[in-house]
Amino acid sequence: MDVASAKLIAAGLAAIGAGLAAIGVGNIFGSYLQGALRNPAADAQMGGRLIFGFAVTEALGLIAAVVALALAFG
Amino acid sequence: MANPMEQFKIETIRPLELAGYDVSFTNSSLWMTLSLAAVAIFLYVGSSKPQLVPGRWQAAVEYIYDFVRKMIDDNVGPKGRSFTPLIFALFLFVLACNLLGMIPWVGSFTPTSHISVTLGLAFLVFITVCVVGFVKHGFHFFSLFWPKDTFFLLAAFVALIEFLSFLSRPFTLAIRLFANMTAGHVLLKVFGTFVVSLGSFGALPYVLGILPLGVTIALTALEVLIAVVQAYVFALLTSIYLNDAINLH
Repeated sequence: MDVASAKLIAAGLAAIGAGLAAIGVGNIFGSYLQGALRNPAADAQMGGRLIFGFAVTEALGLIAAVVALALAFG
Repeated sequence: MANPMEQFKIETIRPLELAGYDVSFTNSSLWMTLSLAAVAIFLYVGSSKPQLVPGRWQAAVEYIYDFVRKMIDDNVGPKGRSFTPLIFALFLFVLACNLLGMIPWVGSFTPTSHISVTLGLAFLVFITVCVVGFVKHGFHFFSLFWPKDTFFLLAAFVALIEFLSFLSRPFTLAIRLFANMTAGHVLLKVFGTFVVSLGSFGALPYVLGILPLGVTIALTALEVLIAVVQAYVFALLTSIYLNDAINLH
């Protein structure tokens, strides 16, 4: 196998990480909705932590996406 | 398909050299200057003639200021108030860079889509946090890494992990912003090429291009949201890191 096709396969494999981060982000928003619907009064306090958890989790998926982009186009 | 990474190319507008270093005025510098000008005009017009009952512009400036102020109060507490200018400036600069980069057709460039820019901002935050921590607590600052009331070997292990995670903060802070901006713009570009390639389908000209065009418009709206959220996240994480340095645990 030549290097160019190996790079494209590696880019595809690296992109799996973005999908896994999607599970994490979905989990965060799902848990937030469960909490917010059960106790609407606590909704306002959760906003900041929600965005914080979302950002920290999403960063990992984005690192995978950047690795994939660097392999595919770099 | 055109290479979607082409939009991030840095072009020199006016070559300059200082002490052997290339400090040329590039399109990145141009758009950073424009964002700075946009922030300056926004703040100056909003606060030049303050009134008791604010007009629309003044209300917008006050709303953003109160937003940042409240975020610092929530995350750091009253001791963090003196850092409001730093976080407010970082928030507005990142926000302006992200949003001005979303303007189509004018050859706009997103400075925050380059890791050199975001890493510079992140190291500014990291060094500030370290300096504040050491000035406020001296060598007691290292107790930030040490879990209380824990078995010694376990505590040493946790302290090592905490220390490594502390050192990786500027990189995750930089990569988060840069990767969000890069990935978003690449996505828009890729969907843009779908419009052209599907729209030029011979039997049904233009018709098939409508769907990807709609998706591109929706994605642009999403990117504007992400631009705002990432500026907020940058400021939020800055205040959370400052909280560690100011209040330890």
